Amino acid sequence: MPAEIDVPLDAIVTLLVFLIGVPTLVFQSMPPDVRHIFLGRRRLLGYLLVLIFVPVSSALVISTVGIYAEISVAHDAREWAVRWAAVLGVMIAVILVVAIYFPLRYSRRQGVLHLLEREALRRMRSRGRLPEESVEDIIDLGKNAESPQEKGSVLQSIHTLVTETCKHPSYSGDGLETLILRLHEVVIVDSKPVNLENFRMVAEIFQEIAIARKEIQHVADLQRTVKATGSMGRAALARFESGLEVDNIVMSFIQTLGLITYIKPLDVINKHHFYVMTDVSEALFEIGSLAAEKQRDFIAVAALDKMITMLSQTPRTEDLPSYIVDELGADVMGLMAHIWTGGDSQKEFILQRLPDVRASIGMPDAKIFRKARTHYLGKSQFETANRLAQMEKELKPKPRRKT
Amino acid sequence: MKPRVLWIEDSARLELRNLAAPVYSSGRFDFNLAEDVTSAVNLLKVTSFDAILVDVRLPPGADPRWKRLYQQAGADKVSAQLGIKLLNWLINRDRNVHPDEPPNGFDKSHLGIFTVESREDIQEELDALGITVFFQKTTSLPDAILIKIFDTLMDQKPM
Repeated sequence: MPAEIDVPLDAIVTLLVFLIGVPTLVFQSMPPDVRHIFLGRRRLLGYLLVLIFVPVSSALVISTVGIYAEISVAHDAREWAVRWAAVLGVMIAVILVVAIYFPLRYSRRQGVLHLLEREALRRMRSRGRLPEESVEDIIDLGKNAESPQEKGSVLQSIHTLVTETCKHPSYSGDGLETLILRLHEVVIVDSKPVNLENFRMVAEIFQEIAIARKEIQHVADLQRTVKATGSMGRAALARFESGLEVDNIVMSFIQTLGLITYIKPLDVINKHHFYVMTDVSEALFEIGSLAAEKQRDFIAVAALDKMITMLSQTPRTEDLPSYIVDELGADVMGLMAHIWTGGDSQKEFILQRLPDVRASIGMPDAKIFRKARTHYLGKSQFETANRLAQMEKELKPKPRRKT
Repeated sequence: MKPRVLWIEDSARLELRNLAAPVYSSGRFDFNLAEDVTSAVNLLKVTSFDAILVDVRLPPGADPRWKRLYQQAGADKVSAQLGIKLLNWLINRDRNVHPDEPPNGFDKSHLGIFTVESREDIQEELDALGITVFFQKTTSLPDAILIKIFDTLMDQKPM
């Protein structure tokens, strides 16, 4: 009579069900946006299925070996206990690894972020371009992140992607459009908290794009960066009404714009550098004028100082189109007018800085004001045009009354 | 042409108005501010400066290498002394600090330190770097201290 076969099937089935259940539970407990990314990406979903399949298969193999030994090898009670203790022990070890690894790796935003970053880097290295799909998913992860620390991790990933892309020999100065245009979504979300460090990291990402390899062919990304930096500065000013850190946040963007004005290699790119200069000046004007309106005088003064420096340091070469100096001058005068109309102390400050501006533009006051007003009227910025008119009027010496 | 100057200082968030505002208002300098090592290096990569003032306790910013140095020191600005490490990289071109080629846009004699540490605390490092311009951050500093320091730095004879 053959020996009685005694397999602890209850235990094996329970452990197998648990093994299948852990990833399912993890999948269900993922934040909705993370789950959406998994479901939308066949590759990630496939990766997840492999990670379920491998432990379950291992557990099945281990159980089969145990059952085979049970059937084919004679044993006594002691051997039986040792064999099944070993089989179940290995299965429990696999379960423990899965139960710890899965939640740590996939139920958190960082785990998915890491996968997306790796995938984006791999594809960027082979094609020389960041895959838009991965960039969009990473930005969505940042947008929905619950804490500034989580946002920081997303921004760190984006920084790495940008740095690697800009270093890649195929990067031509155009190709980061989605990333630049959508980056603000990570930090400017009304319902989610952000901190100063998050904004500073955004500024550093913009700086990385700005200082990309010297031999780039296009300035498209640089121009987008200038616009995005200006918008971020304005958004930060609009969002934070008060607080010690607001000035620092906005200063990060002013500094980034300042850095862009120093980039010399662009001079050789079909004179596109000049266009970027006027974009920088316009972005500084937008930040500075909003700061003046919100009585953030320090920001307004810092922006104006940068603009005056740009105006005075722009080389007046023969091939410099005349409208460049006109636009730079108009931006400076426009911001001065916004500060001027703030009060008597502001007027005093503007009077101190005005001689430098006059010297740089090299025209009579009436012409400077006329050109600046025409500039703003042409852009339908009537408020600035009105402030310029008011400033011009108040600057004119009052006629002496006859006694 | 205005002299181009750089202040590398993270606690500018507290001192911005008091110390930086007079520099902007004076209109004498093309003044730049970097609040961490990564931002400072970014600036140094694209332009040169007539004077650079560095804090000793600096955060790393986003660059992974500077971040690693910071984390190796227990993620503590006081022990990391990234300001000193940055200067060591720039002046002594020590690639153990950072593998990248250090930028060249500065004159060693126009580098200075402005920190809460006393001169005695970091004298050894100052000697190794050959830095002579040192100012300690203390209470009741005059608001125009930065202008004074930048003037001092620019008065130094080039090495």
